[in-house]
Amino acid sequence: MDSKIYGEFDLVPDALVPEAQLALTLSPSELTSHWTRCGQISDFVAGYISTAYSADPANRDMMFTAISTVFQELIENAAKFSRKRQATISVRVKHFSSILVYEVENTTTPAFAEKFVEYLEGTAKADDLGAVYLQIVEAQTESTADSLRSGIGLLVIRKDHEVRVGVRFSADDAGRPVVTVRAFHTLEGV
Amino acid sequence: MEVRESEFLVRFSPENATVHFSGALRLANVKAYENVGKLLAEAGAQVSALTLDFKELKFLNSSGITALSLFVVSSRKAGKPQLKLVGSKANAWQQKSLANFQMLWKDMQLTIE
Repeated sequence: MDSKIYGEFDLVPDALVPEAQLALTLSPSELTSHWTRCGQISDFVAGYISTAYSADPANRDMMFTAISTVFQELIENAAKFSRKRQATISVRVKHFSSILVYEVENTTTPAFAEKFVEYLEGTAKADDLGAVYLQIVEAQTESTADSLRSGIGLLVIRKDHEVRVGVRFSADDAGRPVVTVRAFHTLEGV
Repeated sequence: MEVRESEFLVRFSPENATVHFSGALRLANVKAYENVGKLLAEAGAQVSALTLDFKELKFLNSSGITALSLFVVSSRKAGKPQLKLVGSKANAWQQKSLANFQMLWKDMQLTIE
């Protein structure tokens, strides 16, 4: 399967050496069975990166909150939409001086991949993210309790945290869909 | 009246008609916010104007934003209670994300302290 890319996926060259980086491998089922682990991982990543701003504790705290908030949405999506059995979520975080690059990769089902593509096609080129947000939330008010889904995670980090997002769809050796989400978080002005 | 879990507390104070949020609201999905939604609905039924105080809330995920949005839209449609939101500059997300609620109901007051 040829890979297909939506949004801004290659904003930072892969060869560029970061100031700090970390990689984690997680299991989607361990996150969904103990949901608070998503927050724990988000806080760990935020703490690791924001340590670079320790000279200014107030700024470090702002960085911590912003990084954890953005990462939380990425890891929640991966946990919810991964294949659950014998599957892993790969996380890579690279810190360049003013940009943080998060990469979260997981295998998923064809149905989830299709829904995700529909979502991306509907929002990737939207000029007015605020209008898209209103449209999604107002539509939710018409949903029944059981069918309620947020659906605004990526939108909120793009709109409120000025994160640029790219998504690559490819396939693993068994032909299962692989989703790789890259988020580029500008840390200046956080 | 309160909803308390290991990571957060949501508490209604009738004496000042305020719902205080503190900790980290990062539940798994919108349905998981059902108890918080019930507390807001019950608090809103008791007063004509309700303040939602987020100053001590460090994190709110997108499912939480959606759950609170549903309450805002429901209050807007009913015309009551009037809502006032209070946030803190110390929490980076509040300045940006609390404004989303105001987009849903322009008459709502938003204060960032």
